[in-house]
Amino acid sequence: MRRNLAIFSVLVFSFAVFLVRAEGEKSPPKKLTPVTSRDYSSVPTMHPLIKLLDEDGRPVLKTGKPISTRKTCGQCHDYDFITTAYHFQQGANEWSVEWGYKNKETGSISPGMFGRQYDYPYYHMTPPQWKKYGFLFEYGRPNWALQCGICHLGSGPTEFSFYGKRLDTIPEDQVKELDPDFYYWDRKENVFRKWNWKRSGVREANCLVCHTPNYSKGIQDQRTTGHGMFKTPHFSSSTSAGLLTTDIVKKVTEDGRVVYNPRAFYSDGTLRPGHLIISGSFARKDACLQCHAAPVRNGHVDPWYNYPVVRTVNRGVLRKGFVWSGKNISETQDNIEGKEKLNFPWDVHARAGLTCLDCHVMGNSPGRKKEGKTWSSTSFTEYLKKPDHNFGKGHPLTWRVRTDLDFTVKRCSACHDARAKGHDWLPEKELHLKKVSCETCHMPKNHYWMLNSFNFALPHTAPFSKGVKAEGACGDAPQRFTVLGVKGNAIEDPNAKIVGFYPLYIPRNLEKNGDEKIVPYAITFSLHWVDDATGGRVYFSQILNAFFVRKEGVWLPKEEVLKVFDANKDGKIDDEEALFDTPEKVALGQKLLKAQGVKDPQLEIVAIPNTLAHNIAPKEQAIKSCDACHSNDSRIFNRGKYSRVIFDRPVLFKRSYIYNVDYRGIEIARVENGKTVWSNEQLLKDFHLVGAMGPEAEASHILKAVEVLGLVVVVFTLMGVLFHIVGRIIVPKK
Amino acid sequence: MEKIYVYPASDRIWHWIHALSIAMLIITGIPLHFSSLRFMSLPAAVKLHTFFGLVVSFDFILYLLNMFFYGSIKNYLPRKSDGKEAILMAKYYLWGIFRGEEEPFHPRPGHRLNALQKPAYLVVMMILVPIQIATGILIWKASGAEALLNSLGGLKTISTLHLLNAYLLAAFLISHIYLATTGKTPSYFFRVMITGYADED
Repeated sequence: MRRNLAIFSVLVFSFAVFLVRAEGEKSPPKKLTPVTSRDYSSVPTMHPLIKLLDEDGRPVLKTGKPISTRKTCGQCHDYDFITTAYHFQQGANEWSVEWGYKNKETGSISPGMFGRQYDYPYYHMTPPQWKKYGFLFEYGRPNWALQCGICHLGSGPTEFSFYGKRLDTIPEDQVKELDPDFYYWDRKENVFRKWNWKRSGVREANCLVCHTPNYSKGIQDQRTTGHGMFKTPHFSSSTSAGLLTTDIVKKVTEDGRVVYNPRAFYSDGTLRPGHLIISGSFARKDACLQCHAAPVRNGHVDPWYNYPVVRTVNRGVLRKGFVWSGKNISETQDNIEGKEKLNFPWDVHARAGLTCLDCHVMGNSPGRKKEGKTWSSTSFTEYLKKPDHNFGKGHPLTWRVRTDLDFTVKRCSACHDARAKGHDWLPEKELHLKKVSCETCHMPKNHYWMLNSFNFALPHTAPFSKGVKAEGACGDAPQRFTVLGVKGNAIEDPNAKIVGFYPLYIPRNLEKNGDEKIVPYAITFSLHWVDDATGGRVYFSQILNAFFVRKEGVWLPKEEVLKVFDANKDGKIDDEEALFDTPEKVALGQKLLKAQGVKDPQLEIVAIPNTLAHNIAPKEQAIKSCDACHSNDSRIFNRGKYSRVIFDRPVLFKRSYIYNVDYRGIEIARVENGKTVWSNEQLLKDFHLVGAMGPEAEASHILKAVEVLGLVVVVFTLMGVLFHIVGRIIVPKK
Repeated sequence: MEKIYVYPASDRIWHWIHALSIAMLIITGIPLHFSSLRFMSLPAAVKLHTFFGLVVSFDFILYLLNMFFYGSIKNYLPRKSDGKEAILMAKYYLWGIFRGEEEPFHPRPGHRLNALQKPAYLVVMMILVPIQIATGILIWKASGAEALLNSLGGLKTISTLHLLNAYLLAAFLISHIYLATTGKTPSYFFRVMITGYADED
């Protein structure tokens, strides 16, 4: 009996242990302790538990290798299909050596950020066979990955070569000297170096940046570029590094090894529930804001400006002062001038709870109507397999990627019928609605700051301020820049007042086959050299070697440059001194650049326009005064507005135009009262604004002549009458 | 002195409506054009300008009907004596009027206009006013007439033409009002245009 009881007891105990172990395998831990202060364990998600896999398809828990999204997310989703979207490709799948020639942009090799000449950073993307096509080597793929990788989501140009081969699989013996897929120019040292893609790995698409709310893009950036908590750049581990804010990843080493927390995984490498929130098709609410706009956090717009911020930040802020928040401006930070009167939200649509995807609709999402009319015919099963990540886009002037997708963003008319209500007070309602975009009146002023101008004609390389080395926006491009919308020293004084800025206006069609309308833009201006013999911008390396000399590891201005530019003789060239406002400065610049092989160096000012379709004010704040536009002080021509000042000095540029081939040949800048200012009279020469004759006459000699002639006729008639009256009075009668 | 009936009531009513409307168009045109002289709001100026523009347009149709169907065209027809009369009138305006000489021309039924008035009025009424009406309507209905506007050089070209015409019409109106004071007394022609009766020679 005792024996039987003992056997029974052992059996019961063994079964109990088995049950406990089995339960332990299935149940989530009782208490989750995420590293972040916010607890995401309660965030609802329908996403099933996933196994995190490395590039070989094995569980990372066992190998300690970085997470591969191609293998991990690719278990269910079509990674290759998703990453053809323009956010990943940035024009890399549209590159061609002839692109620049075909589009009158000598030196550009694609319509997007990967390959189109741009101003931050200022570079020429080096294509394969660059010597054959007359390029200089300036910006290899590693340069792009290290600088643009901060914003770029991975895949496309950071995963594949120009010829579509995965970069870390190309054998060493196939890499030729100065192959732009492998070599990069180290501007600081002025040497070409070879990048080891096998050591750094490639940057696959980082799905987690947008789809996990507890992910840190900031740490991912540090891992990508090798700053902050990392000393060296490493690409393949960058996705895993962003999980350091969770309890999934404990450590990422300099050489790219990842230490995972086994408590977060089941034994087969599947993540336990609650550790990684994957927020499905709607992404995280602030997903887009990480690159495209600033949110308001704890009563402050994040980020506020300062030099490091300008260097790394959020292009939506740099390019157009884009703040996406439903909070009142008056409830935001103290250094916004007159904020007590700004008792309305930063964006009325953010206040209403809209998300980015409500307007920038996904190509095939079955949950959304396409262009507001028909439901997508894609089934959920098909959509989950192949979600089209080409978000609805407008018709931007700056980037021309995937123009076949232009006009797919939902415009105001998708939700609002401006003709049906609310605009009956407007004289000539139909004409106004036809010729003026909604944003023109409903975005009267932007209350944040943006970059106003760059000077690449004479960059600075001396220490900038407070010991910060001269490293410009996006890494090591040492451009000089000015900020618009801040009163005082925007760089050094954190208490300087934000005064905001007024939009500048360009005629543009916002709908397919639509009318050309007056549209507000935030425009950053760039002053740079162009070689008129080729039509291409002068290479940065030519500028650097023309104006500077390398001494003891530092680039310093040449003596002859200091002699002409350093007016206050302090041994350095200040930002204002660096502007080419005298014939002597221009002549010296041309002489030095010719010595570097530039045949016909000339100065250009280019306007880089960014559409202002956000920061929409409530209707009470919309412009309702006719005089605002229909007067000689017309805001459409930015008369009397500081926003039109490009440089505080009269720059002697040869030509100016808008950064888009459609606007070549139309001058957009001029010197006025000792300043270089924006001038859109030529752009708007086909528009007629009643009452704005003053600005309009500046674009039309005929109009100016008529104005003068008409007044002369009337004045002479009045004088004739006067003389006649006097004659009738004073001449003695017969 | 005997009086002769020169201007029938219909002509006089037409004239004064036309005069008032043209004056109002100039007055309301000033704030539309000169933002620094905006003595009334832009919407009010637009509404009034449009209203008086329509009145002038309607008035102009009546003018044409009167001219071609009711015989007022005979006032504009050239006469053998026009050359001599034009020289006399020019001499009068340039010198004789100062010396108090008698005006060589006196209006009478069927011959209401002197040899200088005829071409001047024809230019105004057959060229300037129709152009002004046409350009005004095109500007007013710009959103519905884009194809036509573009074929004519665009809204800005049309607006420029409207502006040029406006200056010329304003100059004409100044001259017209002044010359109306050159009768026997400064108010003589005004009285004639109000009562319809002129003094017999």
